[in-house]
Amino acid sequence: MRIEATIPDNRATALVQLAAELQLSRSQLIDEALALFVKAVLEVRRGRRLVMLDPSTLQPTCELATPTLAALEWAQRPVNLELPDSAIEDMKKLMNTAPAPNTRLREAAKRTRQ
Amino acid sequence: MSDFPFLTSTIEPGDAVAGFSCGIHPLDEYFSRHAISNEAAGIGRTYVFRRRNEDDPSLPVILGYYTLSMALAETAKVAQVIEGKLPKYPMPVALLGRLAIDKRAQGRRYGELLLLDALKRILDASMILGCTGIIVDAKDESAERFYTRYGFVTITRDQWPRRQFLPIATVRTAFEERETL
Repeated sequence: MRIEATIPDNRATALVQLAAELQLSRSQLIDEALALFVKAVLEVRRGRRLVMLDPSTLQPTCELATPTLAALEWAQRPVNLELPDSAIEDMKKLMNTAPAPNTRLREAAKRTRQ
Repeated sequence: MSDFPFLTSTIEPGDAVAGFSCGIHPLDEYFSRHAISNEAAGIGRTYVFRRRNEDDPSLPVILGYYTLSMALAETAKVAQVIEGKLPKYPMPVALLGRLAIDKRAQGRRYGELLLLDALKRILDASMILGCTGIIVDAKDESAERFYTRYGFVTITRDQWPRRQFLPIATVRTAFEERETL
């Protein structure tokens, strides 16, 4: 199957450099990366975590996380929030007519880009 | 992985004994005693903001933290659901249960940095999970004022912590505008 994807420029540069360095085609590299990610998703869905092990101690040295994996982990055990009817109604109204971000939020989001 | 430069990373065992203190006992106690075990049990996640190279070296190693989990918001009264006045199914939301800055690092707008970090994580997650918005638990009036400044609306007023809500669409718009700059 042939697929097309849009990725950030820096990621594309890294992909090209890594493929050259490992003497792999881009397709091979993407195929392996996807296989690893699919495995990670399956393991996280089983409640497992993705960590790097120190070969000398076999102890975890760091945990690997992506927004997707973190999201899957949060979804494992959702908390039940029992709210008053008025709160649910307020939430519904806000969702149906979501307000535009206020100046403070807009400016703060802008600053994260700098 | 996101190209957003997240400031935080997940809590590690050594963090709990790093001397974090925001001055609010329940938040300090949660971080030092419960955050690691809750993380291991999969009950929410704790993201830690560590001192960076460019920060004042006299600042503590842990500058702040926040906790995130997914939640299902539902009404306590079944009758109105049956009558069709309220949604039949629980509404999936992200719960930003705690957000704290070490008292030695306060006054540097780190609270805003942490809030935006959390909102971006939630926005990323909302692309693959159902998420109608973000609920925060404001522990006191000062916290409620803080969240209100960014557009959160108080939805429970009878007791503390007060719950406040911001629709995910509002957050999405804020970050989309950021991308088009």
